[in-house]
Amino acid sequence: MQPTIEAWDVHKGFGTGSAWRSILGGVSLTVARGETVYLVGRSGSGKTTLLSILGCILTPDRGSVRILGQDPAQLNVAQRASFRGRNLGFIFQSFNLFPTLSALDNIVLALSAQGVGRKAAVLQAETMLEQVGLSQRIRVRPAQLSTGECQRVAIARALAGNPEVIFADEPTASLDTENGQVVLQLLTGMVRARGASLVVVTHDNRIFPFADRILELEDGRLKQEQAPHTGTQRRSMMKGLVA
Amino acid sequence: MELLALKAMLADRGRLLTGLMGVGFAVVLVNLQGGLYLGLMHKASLIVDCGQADLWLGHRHMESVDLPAAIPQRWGMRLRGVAGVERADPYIITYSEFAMPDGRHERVVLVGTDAAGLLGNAWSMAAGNPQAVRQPDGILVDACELDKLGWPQVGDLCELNGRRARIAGLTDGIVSFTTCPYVFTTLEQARTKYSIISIPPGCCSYILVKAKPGTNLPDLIARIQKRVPELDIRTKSDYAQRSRQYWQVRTGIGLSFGLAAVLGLLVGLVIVAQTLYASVNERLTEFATLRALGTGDGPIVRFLVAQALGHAGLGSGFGIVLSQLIGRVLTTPRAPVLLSASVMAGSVVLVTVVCMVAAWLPYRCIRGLDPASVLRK
Repeated sequence: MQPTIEAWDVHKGFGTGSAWRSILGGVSLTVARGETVYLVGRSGSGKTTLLSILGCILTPDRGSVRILGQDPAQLNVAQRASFRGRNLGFIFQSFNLFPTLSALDNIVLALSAQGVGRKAAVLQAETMLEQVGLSQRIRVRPAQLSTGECQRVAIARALAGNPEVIFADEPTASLDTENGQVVLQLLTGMVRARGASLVVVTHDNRIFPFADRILELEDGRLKQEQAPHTGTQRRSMMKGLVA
Repeated sequence: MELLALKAMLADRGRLLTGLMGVGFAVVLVNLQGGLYLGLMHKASLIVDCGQADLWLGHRHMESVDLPAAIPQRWGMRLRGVAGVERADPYIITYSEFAMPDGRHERVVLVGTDAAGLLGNAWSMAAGNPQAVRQPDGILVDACELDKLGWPQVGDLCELNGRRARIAGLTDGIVSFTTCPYVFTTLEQARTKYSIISIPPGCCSYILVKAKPGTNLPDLIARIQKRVPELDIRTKSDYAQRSRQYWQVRTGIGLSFGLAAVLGLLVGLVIVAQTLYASVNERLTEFATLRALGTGDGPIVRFLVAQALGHAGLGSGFGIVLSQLIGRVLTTPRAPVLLSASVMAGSVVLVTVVCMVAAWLPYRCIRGLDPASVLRK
C-alpha cells in the first residue's frame, strides 16, 4: 500500500542574502497508513519546519514531498489550503480556539469553513465532543474549560472532518503529566480507530510509548530512529486506549 | 458561518459596545442633520405646502414664495370662467414693520389673503380663529414668534407700519425660513395699510387657484396658460420644490449640512473599522489557525461581512431609536427636525456601506496571514 507521506531529500531555508539560514538539509522519510510517527529533537533542529512542509503549509526549497499521493508544490496557495481542509487535521500547542465561541461552535466553525452545512456540522461536532468525553460541556467557552478539555476540543476539531493524516505540534506542552497522558491516549486511540496516520512533534518523552516510530532530527537532518517501547509496554498501553 | 460570526461578535461585549456606539453615533448624526435640513427646507415652502391652493400663478421666473413681484390682480378675473377652476383669488406677500411698546421694531413677512375666500390664509391656530383676519385691523401672529414681537396677546393693539392693528389670533408653528415672522391679514389691509413696500393699486403678488375636485391639473394649467400667457403657473408641489431649491442654492445650506453628515459618517467609519480591526487583530492566531486548517478567502469574507452587517444592523437600530428621542426633544417650529422614513432609510443604507468598507481593513490583515505562523515558536 502506498505510504501516506513520502519525503525525499527535503531542503528548506529562511531569510535572504547573507541572512539566509538552512533549517532542513536533506530529510527523507515515509509514514505508512495508520502509523503514528513522532518527530523529536532539540529546539532549532527543524521539527516544526518539517511538520509545516509535511502538512502542506510550506513547500520545500529542494527535494519533493507526496502527501496521499499529491505533491503540494504543484498546487497553488488556494489549492493547498483546500487540500489541507479535505485531507489533513492539525492540533496546536496552544489549542488556538476562538475564545468567543463555545466548544461546539469552534468545531462547527472549522467544518462550516470547509463547506459543511450547519445541521450536518452541528451533528458531527456533537458526535466528536461526545467521543472526547465533553458531551456535557459543548456550550462552554474555552475560558471556562481546563487546558486538558481545551486540547480535547482541539482534537475533536482536528478529527471532525475525518482527515487521513493528523499533524500535532507539541500537543502536550501546555498540559501536566496526567492530562498529557490522557490526551495522547485519546488522540492515539481515535486516530488508530479511523486508520489515519499521526505525525507528532514533541519534546515530551513521557508520551514516547504511544508512537510506532520516533524520528530524531538534529541540525536539520534525520539522526536516527528511536525505539519507542517494547512489545509488552505497547500491549499494556493499548489496553488503556480501549474505553 | 454567518451565524457563528454573529455569535462571536455578540460574545465580545466590550468591543461590540464600542462598535455599536460608533455606528449609532453616525446614524444619529446623519439622521439629525438630515432631519434638521428637511425641517429648515420645509419652512422655505411652508406657505405653499400647507396652503389650500392647487396652483400658484405669479411673475415670470418666480423662484421663491417669499420673494414675489407685483402682477395685475385683474388677470385673476380671466380665470374664474375656466373649466375646472373653483376659486382664483389674489394673494399678497410683502413686508412690514412691527413696532413694540418699548420702541423696538421687527421686520415681518406680511401675508394678505382675499377676505372672501381666505385662500392661502393661516391653517393652524394656537388661539382664536383663522377667520378673525376679517376683523377690522385684524392680524394673526405666530405663537412661536411672540418673543420677537414683544409678547403680545390676543386682543392687544399694536402698530404695523405705523398703523393700528389688533392681534386677532395666534397661529401655531407657521414660521418663515427667514428670521422675519409671518403676519396674516386681509389683502386689502395688507395693500392699503400695513405694507411698507408700496403695492400699486390693482396689483397683487400671486393669484392662487383652487381646482374643482377631480380636475386634471396639467390640463387645467394648459387652459389657464392660454388665458394668462404672461404668467408662470406652478403646481403646489412644483413651486414648493422651487422655493426650497432657491434657498439651497443661494445659501449653500445643503453643502454645510451635507458636510456635517459626511463627517458623522467618517467618524462612524473610523470607529467601526478600528473596532473590527482590533477584534481581528486580537484573534490573528485563531484566524491563522483557520488558514492552517484549510479555510479559504470565501468563508473569511463571509465571517467579516456578517460581523460588519451585524454592527450595521444593531447600531442602526440603536441609532434610529436614539434619533427619534433626540429629534422629539430638539424639534421646535423654528428648527424642526423632520425624521422622515427616507431620511432614516438613507442613514441605514449609508452606515451599512460604511461598515462594509470598514471590514476591508481586517480582511486585508487576515488575507496576508501566514498559516505557518501558528506553528512557529
